[in-house]
Amino acid sequence: MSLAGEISALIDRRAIHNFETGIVGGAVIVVLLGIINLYGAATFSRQADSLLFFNRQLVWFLVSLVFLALVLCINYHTLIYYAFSLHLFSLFLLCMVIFLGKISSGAQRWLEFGPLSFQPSEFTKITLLLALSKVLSKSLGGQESRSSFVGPLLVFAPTVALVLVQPDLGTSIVLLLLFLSVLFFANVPLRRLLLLPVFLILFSPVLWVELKDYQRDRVLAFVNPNQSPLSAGYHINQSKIAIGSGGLWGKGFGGGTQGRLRFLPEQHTDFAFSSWSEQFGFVGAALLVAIYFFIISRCLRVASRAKDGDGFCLAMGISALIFWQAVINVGMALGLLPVVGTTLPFFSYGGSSLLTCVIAVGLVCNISLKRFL
Amino acid sequence: MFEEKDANSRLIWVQWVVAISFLILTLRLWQLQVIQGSDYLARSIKNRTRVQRIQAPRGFILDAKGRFLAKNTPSLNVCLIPQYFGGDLAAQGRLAKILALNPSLLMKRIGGLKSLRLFEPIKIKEGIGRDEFGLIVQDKAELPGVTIDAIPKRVYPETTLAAHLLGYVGEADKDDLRRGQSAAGNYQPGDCLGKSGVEQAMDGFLRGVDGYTESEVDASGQRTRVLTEKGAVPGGSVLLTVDLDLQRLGEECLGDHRGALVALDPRDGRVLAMVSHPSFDPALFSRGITKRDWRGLLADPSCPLINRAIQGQLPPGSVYKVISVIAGLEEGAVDADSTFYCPGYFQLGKRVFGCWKKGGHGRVNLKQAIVSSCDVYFYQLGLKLGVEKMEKYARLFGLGTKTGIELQGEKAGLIPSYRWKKERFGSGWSAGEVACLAIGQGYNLVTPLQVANLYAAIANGGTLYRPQYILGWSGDDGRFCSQFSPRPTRKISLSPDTLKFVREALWGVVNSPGGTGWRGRVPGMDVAGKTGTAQVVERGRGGSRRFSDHAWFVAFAPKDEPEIVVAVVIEHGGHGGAAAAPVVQKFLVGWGHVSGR
Repeated sequence: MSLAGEISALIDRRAIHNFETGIVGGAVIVVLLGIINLYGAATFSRQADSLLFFNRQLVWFLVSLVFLALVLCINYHTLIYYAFSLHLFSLFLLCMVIFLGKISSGAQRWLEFGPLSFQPSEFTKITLLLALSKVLSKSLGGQESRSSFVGPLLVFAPTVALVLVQPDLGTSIVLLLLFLSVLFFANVPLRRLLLLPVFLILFSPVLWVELKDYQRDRVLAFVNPNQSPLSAGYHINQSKIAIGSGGLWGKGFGGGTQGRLRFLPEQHTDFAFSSWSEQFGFVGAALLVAIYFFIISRCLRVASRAKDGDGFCLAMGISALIFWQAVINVGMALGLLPVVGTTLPFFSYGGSSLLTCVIAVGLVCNISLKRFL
Repeated sequence: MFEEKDANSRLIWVQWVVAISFLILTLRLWQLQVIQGSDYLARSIKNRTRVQRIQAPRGFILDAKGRFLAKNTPSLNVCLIPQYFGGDLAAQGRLAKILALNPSLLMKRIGGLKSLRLFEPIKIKEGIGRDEFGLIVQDKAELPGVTIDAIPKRVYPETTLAAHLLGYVGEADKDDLRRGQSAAGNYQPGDCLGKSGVEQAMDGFLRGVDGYTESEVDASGQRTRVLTEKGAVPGGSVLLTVDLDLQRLGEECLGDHRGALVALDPRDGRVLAMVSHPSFDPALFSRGITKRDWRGLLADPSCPLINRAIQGQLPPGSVYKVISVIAGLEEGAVDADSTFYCPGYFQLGKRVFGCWKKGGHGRVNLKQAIVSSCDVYFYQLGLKLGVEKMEKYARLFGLGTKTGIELQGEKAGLIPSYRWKKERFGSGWSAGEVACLAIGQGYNLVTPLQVANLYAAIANGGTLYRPQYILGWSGDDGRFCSQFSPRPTRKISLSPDTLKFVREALWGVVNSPGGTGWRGRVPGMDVAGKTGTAQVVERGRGGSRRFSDHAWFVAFAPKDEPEIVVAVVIEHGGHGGAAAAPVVQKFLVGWGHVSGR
């Protein structure tokens, strides 16, 4: 398909009519709320660079809009066509991280390019979904075969292995959930699907041994947060205090003492939701949760209306990506789930995460646009 | 459109999963923010606020002439914030070395206190010296989180002088905290409060009101701003009726004898000196007494913490005889001319009661009986009076009840009654016991303060005062106002002749030939007094028992317009005239100098 064709498709009246305004609008609102949250957490802090996160995120937002436009312009079939190459490139970057990555808080997750640093594991989520869609689209025709399970596993296993060694437990869990979700929709029999968790449970003692000390602490702290208020349980406790103290209406913009005075750890990234909930209370927090629900529902609708197997698979995967990250992040902030480092899509500070989510949303819109063409 | 029946049925599942997940999140939000919101709000406030107490300086205690008996000095305490200090081994070693502490002990101490509150400074060592202070300041860069606080600490410039009267201060213990919840003084852990003596009695006034600073802190414990501040209100100062010179004189006169000395002004009941020996250093307690020192004080057989002037309950011996005399005259059992013959002993049935003078006093009248302290005379007087009449007059003069001086732990002594004996022993009085009461033996127990107060009433014409030691206190403007007003317990209605007779007889005890109190004579001063030798059994080493009498002497002067009463008791000191009278004599001579007589 020529570029002119692409553009003509874009300006097609039906295409405009069917543009997923809801998904993009919802995502943009969440990004903007996230930026407001960064400002509110920084306002009264004495640090000289208190607006650093705010400014950077604004820039990332503008950059991500460019990426959104780009993704909308490229037919997703093209991307799926090149899925293996793209995913191989992701794996290459993950290898680079292992050898050249920047070490931060005991893990190697970052690649640096001059002043820019980014997290390849974020982009891996997209390429993994593309690759899985490519592998599974055939089996969606209904011809159930052995390859429908083995193929995806061959794509997934090296990916998660490279992320685990960083070590990045949070992303590994998200990848695993994505994998299971996509298989679930790809008509893989439940019996086989259940095999994997059984397999995981069998290997969990090995995994437990392999975990870093701080990761083990976090799991233990989740079980009993008050036992070690100074270490891992501290995160959960401070997050619950931040959220709970917001009450119904919140402490007001910039009034979050838990965030502003840095009692809340990782308040820009993993615990951004807590900082938001402290400032804007139940009303603000519920609003944010509602927007996520709306975005995910719309993504699922796109999936259900997709005209082909790989579109369905990809849209489903992206819905799963947003859903799992949102639920894990908010559940962790609320003390319902153990602390694993995942970001809240669109909302948390971080360029890699924001770009990944915006690209994902762009892909969903792309799938939606293509269904009449 | 892509159609796949199975996939779409799974999609419905998924939509349910998504909806339920978000419902759970929302319910949890409701639980944390709306249901438990106020709890978490309180926790977030607790998180970000630190209340630092500003200790109110304790008021001074001054003598009658405004000289310091208790004041404050800044004490330097080393504090540290464990989260800053952390696991820096070099810093641990350095601090341990400076403070001469065992490094592992230091870390144990820090670890034990660590979990109390984040970023709260904890006290490591109190009252460091100048050298330690200098070293810490010098090494400040290598000692993260270490600070030095200057806290006012109680000091007693005269060390052990009047320690029992002044009392001591210490940190509030569990009992104080429990009491504090109901009483006006609401004590908190770490509060310093008076534990005995004036420090305790006047604690509410001396202590002042602590202030506080409430500031906002960030997660690292650094203060971002002050929220509220309330200055401390310094405690008021108390002026005592005690004269430092007389007090010192009293302690010198008593010397190393175990006993007590009480000097009162008979005209209004003010305490001029109150000595109890052996004494202790009250500063030991304000430093925070060590367990060893505390056990040592408690285990000391001489009981240095006891204020013998108000807590020592001793048989009065012959100083009691004035009660018998007054009872005898008032009840008409004897008159001034009644005589008895003293052969040196008194036979009652099969029992023989000796007089202190083995050879006997011969025929003596009442006055001679007092002057020579003739026991035989008083045996017979006692038998004529009976238990109840003696008890009546003893109680009228304040024996057997607390004098009401505002000091905790005052003892009431014991004046036995007919009923008391019945209840205690289930038997009545034998004649011998009654006879012994009249010479101040038997079950009688009195405190030195009671004896002084009794003689003060005789000296002033029959008014029993409640002894007081507070002359005045500082008002809000810091000036002293004299607030002393006498508080008479009762006016004892006696015939003036009786008291006049007793006073003359007591003058005779000191000044007549044959008077037992001749060692109490002071040239140029009309001293009246009474000796007492209280028979007791002292437990010696190895359980052996020996008789070693308590020596009493109580005197007032000048005889006609008395200005001072002094009571001295020396435990196991022997004869009152020989052991106690010289102490009083020396004290009165000194008093003459001090008062410019």
